[in-house]
Amino acid sequence: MNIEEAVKLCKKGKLEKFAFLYDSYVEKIYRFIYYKTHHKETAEDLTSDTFLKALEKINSFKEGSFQAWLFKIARNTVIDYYRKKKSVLNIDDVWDLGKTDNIVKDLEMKEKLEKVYDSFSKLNSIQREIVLLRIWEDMPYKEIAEIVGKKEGACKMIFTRAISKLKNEIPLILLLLLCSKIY
Amino acid sequence: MFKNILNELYQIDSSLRRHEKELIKLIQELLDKKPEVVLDKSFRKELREELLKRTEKPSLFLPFLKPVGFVALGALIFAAVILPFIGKDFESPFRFEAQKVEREGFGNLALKQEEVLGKGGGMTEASAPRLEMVDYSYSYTGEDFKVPEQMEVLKKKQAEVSFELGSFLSQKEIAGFDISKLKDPCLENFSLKDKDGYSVNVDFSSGLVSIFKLPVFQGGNVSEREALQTAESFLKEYEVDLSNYSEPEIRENIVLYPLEIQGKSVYEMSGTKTGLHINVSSEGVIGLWNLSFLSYESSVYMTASKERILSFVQKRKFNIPSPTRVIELELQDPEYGYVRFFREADEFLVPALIFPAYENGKYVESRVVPLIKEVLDKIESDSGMMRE
Repeated sequence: MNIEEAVKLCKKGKLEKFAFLYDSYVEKIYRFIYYKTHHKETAEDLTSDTFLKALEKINSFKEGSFQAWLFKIARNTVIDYYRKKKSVLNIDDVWDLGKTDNIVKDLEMKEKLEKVYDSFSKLNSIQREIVLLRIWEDMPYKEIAEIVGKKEGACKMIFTRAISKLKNEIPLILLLLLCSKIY
Repeated sequence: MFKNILNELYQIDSSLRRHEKELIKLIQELLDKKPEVVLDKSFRKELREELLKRTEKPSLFLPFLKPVGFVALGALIFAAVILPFIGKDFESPFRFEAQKVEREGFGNLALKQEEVLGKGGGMTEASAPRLEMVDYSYSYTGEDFKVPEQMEVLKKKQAEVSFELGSFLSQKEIAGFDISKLKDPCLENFSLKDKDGYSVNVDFSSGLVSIFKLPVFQGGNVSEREALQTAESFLKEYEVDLSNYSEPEIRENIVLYPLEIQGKSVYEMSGTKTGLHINVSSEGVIGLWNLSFLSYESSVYMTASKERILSFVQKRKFNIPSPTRVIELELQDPEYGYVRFFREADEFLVPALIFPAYENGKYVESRVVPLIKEVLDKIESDSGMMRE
């Protein structure tokens, strides 16, 4: 059975086939949400919400990539989560919060995320998201466009600008690293 | 993968070819920095089991939590509307339908200038804050977009059931008055109250149903998850048709089910979504309002030009003459939606573009622009804005 067949069967009422879809995507969806929350329990809650919504709305999936549809649900779930917190924190995702010191409780993960913080915090949320999906998830632009609600060409442009920005930051980062080693 | 990414970059900016080594290094660094996120095995197993459990049930809703006094009420709410018509076929007023009428069939949408605006709030000087002289400016940075020359406007119509009920009731003599003499009566509204104090109000003129417990009983706050579970159980218990409502949004003790018409969200001019509200406390559901009848007529109207839409959306929010501070917001790619618009007692759903506004990349609010020329004329004339 492949993804398309499982989706078709679910839409015909054989919802037990949703387990196949769950098994195929749960790791990816959890990872995607974790990158945006840096918090295990929150990522688990939002992953649950994502799959429950997907199961409930499976009949509304019409055409295109099921993966993109599922990621879009996950993305909207995370956006809703942060919008509800907007009265306290005006942020799109966890990268806007500043250094990860107070967010990540898992020490090992904290160290890993700090390595990437300097790069990602220089990008805006949509640039970050597209870089993350393209490079970390190896996702094609067509699906990225579906997920973030922009045109494919616009996604390519945003990615190119983000990479150019990061490229231009490299000498500065190297200089800072060098200085920190000297002193 | 590297080759594909590099080629895609060069297609957009060929000058990047000169920096190929740096780019490869950068992409490799980003890949190296990808954290290994591991999903908890027991969580994975539990969620799988939960999903499978739900696939066994015809419904995904959770069991009803606190029935309180709603058992009698549930029978009242919808059966009250339906009861006289057992055996008759009629369309549920809660399911969307739009009957086409001729072009610009609702007349001039901008008529009755003094009455039209006001129920939606939004971009008028009157809403300017008095103490803080802060204003917001907007600049559009999204992609180019096109707007069709004409689009359909929806006008809410009185549900057929109100005429049926009016006709049914007028067969009776009430308090010595022979109401059968009334010509084509329709029921405007009714309230039902049960012995536990729950009041169901059905207003056919606005097409809205609300339910309240009187006097209001006190209850503690609940978590978001509890609020959602309670609301969903209540809706399931009373078989409220949610086919025209999208995913619920929770704000403190209120669960909002945003109204969705033809796949598009419905907004107020203020930029907030409109829909079914359910107020929840630790005692259960304590109020429901804005359960809307969805019978409409549709008619085609001319749209405003793209230039005018952009000019409108980039106007300052409050238009304060001498603000102490102006916050600059960036408007990104819009999506289509509807905005509620009133002309006297008539309610319209007008096609609109919804622009998300960001400050330094962070979402702040949504700006709503009605696309119908006459509606924009009306709003601009009311708010005193100078049209280009």
